[in-house]
Amino acid sequence: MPMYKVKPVSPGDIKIDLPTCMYKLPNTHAQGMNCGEHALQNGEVDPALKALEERQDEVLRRLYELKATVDGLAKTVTTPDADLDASTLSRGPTESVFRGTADLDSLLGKDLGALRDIVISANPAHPPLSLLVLHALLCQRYQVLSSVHVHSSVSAVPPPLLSCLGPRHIDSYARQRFQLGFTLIWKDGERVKREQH
Amino acid sequence: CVVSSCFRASEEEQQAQSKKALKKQQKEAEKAAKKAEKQAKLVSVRQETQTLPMAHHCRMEGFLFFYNSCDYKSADRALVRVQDLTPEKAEQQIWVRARIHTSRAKGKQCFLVLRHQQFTVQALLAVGDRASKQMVKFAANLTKESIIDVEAVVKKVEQKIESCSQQDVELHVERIFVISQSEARLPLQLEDAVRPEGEGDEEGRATVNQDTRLDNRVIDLRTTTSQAIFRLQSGVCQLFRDTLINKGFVEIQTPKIISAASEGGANVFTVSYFKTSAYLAQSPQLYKQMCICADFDKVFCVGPVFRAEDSNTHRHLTEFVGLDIEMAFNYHYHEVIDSITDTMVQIFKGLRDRFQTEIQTVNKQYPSEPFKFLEPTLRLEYKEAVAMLRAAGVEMGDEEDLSTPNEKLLGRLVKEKYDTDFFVLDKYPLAVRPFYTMPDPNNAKYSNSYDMFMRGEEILSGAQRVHDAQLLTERAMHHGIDLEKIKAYIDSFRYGAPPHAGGGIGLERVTMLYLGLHNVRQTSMFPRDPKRLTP
Repeated sequence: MPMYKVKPVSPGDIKIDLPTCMYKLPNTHAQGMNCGEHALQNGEVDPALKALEERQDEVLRRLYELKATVDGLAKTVTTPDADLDASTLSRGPTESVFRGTADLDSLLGKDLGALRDIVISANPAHPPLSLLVLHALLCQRYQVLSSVHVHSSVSAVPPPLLSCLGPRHIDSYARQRFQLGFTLIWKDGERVKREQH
Repeated sequence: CVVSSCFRASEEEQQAQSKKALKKQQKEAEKAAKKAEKQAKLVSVRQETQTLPMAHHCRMEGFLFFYNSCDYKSADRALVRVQDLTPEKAEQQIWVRARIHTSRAKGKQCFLVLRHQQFTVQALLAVGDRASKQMVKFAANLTKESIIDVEAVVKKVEQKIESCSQQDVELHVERIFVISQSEARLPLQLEDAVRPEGEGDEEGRATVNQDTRLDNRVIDLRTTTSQAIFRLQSGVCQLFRDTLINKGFVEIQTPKIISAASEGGANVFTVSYFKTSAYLAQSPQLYKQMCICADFDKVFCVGPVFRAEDSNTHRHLTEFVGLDIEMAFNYHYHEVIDSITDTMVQIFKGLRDRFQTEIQTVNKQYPSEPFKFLEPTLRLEYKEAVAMLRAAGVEMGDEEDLSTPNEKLLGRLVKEKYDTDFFVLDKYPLAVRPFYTMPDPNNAKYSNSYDMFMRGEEILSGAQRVHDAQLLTERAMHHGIDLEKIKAYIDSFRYGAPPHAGGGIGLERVTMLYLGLHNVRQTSMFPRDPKRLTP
C-alpha cells in the first residue's frame, strides 16, 4: 500500500563546513571498529590499564608504609626521653641508653653548667630496692645530686622512704656543681618509670 | 517602718501573748486573704513590679510585704538551707528560702527547681487539698530568679533526680510566698552561663560570652561555677594567711598612694593629690623591705596592686590582689625559696583536700587536668632550663630572658619529665632582672633571683634583695635610674639591714592556673583591664 508521502524537509546532501578550531573525535557511530576496542567491550582488560592499576596499588602501599613510619617517629618525638618500663630491666640484659660508662661520661660532658638529671618514679607501696644499689654505685663514680620528692597523687609516705637516698648534700644549693642528678619521685602508679633527658 | 515597739515589752508573758495574738491575727488574715485572693488573683499576677503598702498585714498567697525588718520572725520560722535537704529530713515540714531556678507547669502540677548557691532541689506543687488551681498557676507564672519562701514537706524519691544537687529528696510545696520578685527579662540565662563551650556549639544551644557575663556580673556570679571559683579563691587567701601565720609571719598593710613609682616609671596610674600628683602602688615591694629593715623579720601582705599595663591578654589585669612575702634569712636565700614553696605546697594541699566539691563543679563547665605538684618543690636552675629548651629545638642565648611561648614549652617539658605543674626556676641572668636584685657571688652574669611557674605560666617573680646602700646605688646607676627618685628607698638600708628575699603572687592568676582556666577575668570578681571600668 503506498504510504503518505512527505516532502523532505532538508536535502540529504548538505555540505557542512566543519570549524577548524575544534579537535576531532573519531566517529563512534561509524562502522568498522578495530579489534582492540571490540575486546574492551567484552570485559577483557587492556594490559596498559592493568599496569596503571598495579602502579597505583604500589603507590598506595608505599604511602601506608610511610604513614606507619611517621606515626612511630611521632611517638618517639613527643616523648623524647627514654620512657622505660624498668620493672622489666631486672629480668633481662639491660638495654639502657647507657651502653657503657664511657658513654655516660661523654653525655655528662655536654652542656657545662646544666645538671643532667635522671628522674625515676616509683610507687611507695612497692619500693624498688635495686634502685638503692644503683644509686650507691653511681655515687661511687660520679658526683651525684640526689633528691626525693613526693608527688601530689600520694598522700603520705613513710619517713624511711623519704631519706632512702641519704642525707641532703651540703652543696645541694648549687646544682651545677654536680655531674649527675638522681631524682626519685614517689608517685601513685603501677610501674617504675625512668626518664632521662 | 521601724522595729515594732510592741516587742519591747520586757516581761516574757507579755511578749508571748502579743506574739500569740499577732500569730492568730496573721492566721486569720491569711485565711481571709486566701478566699479574697481566689477572686482577685489574675490581677495581681499580671503586675510586673509590685510593692504592697508597708502596713498591709493581710498576706495574699503571692507577695509578702516588703521585708525591711518590721518584724523579727526568727523565733517561729526556721529556714532550712537547700544543701541540708537530705533523706534524714524525710516527712518533715520545713521552710526553705531559695531562688526559682526553673519552673514548669504540666496540667495540675507545677515543677519548680529551687536553687541556693551551688545547690538545687526539685519542688512539686500539685492541685490538692493544700493547693488550689490558682496557686499552681501562680507558681508557674513566677519569674525566674525570684526569691521565694516555701513551706513544704520533704519527701524521699526512689529514682535519683539527676539534674539537681539534692538527688534523693524533693519538696511537696504547701505554701509559697514571694520575697523579692525578679524582672521577667533576664540579661542572660543561668543555664546558658553554665553550659560548657563545646557542648553549646554542638547542640546548637547558647553559651554566654565573656563580655555579657562581665556586664551582668551580679547574675553571672550566681552560677554554680562562679560560686565554686570564688569559694576556692577565698580558700587560697585563707590558706595563704594561715600557713604564713603558722610560720611566724606578721601581716602588714602597706600604703597604695605613693610618691614614686617602685618598679619602673612606665606602668603607673597617676592620681591627683591635692596640689600635686601621686601614684597608685605597683607593688608593696618598698614597704615590705622597709619592714624587714624595721626588724619584723617575716612579713606578708594581702592587698590591691595597680599596674597601668596596656596589655589585653588572658592573664593581665590593671588591678589585682597581690599576696606578697618578704623574709630575712640567716645564711642563704634558698631558705626563703624553701619557705615560699612550702607555703604554696600547703595551699595546694589544702585546696586538694578541702575544696574537691568546688574543683569538680568548675571542671563540669571547664574540664581540665588536676593540678599536680611535688613535695619538696622541684627547683631547676636557669641553665638547665636553657639546655632543655635547646634540646627541644629552641634557639636562645645564655642570658636571654624566657619569652612567654618558651615559658609554656618549658612547662610542658618539665611536666613530661617530672610530672609536676609547679616548679621554681633559680638563678636568672642578672641582665633581665630589676636593679635591686642581688648578683650571684659565684658568677657575675647571673643573679640570686627566681621565678615560679604553674602550668607553664609565671606566677611569682622574686629575688634576694640588695641590702647594702652602696651596692644598691651602684646597681641603680648601672640601670640608669634617677637616684633622686629612689632616695628614700636607698636610705632605708643605711642603718643596718638584714639580708632578705621575697616575692609576690597574684591571687587571681594562681586561682586561674590551679583550676586550669584560661582567662584571669573568670577568677576576678569585678575585673579591671584597659577596656573595663564597670561594674
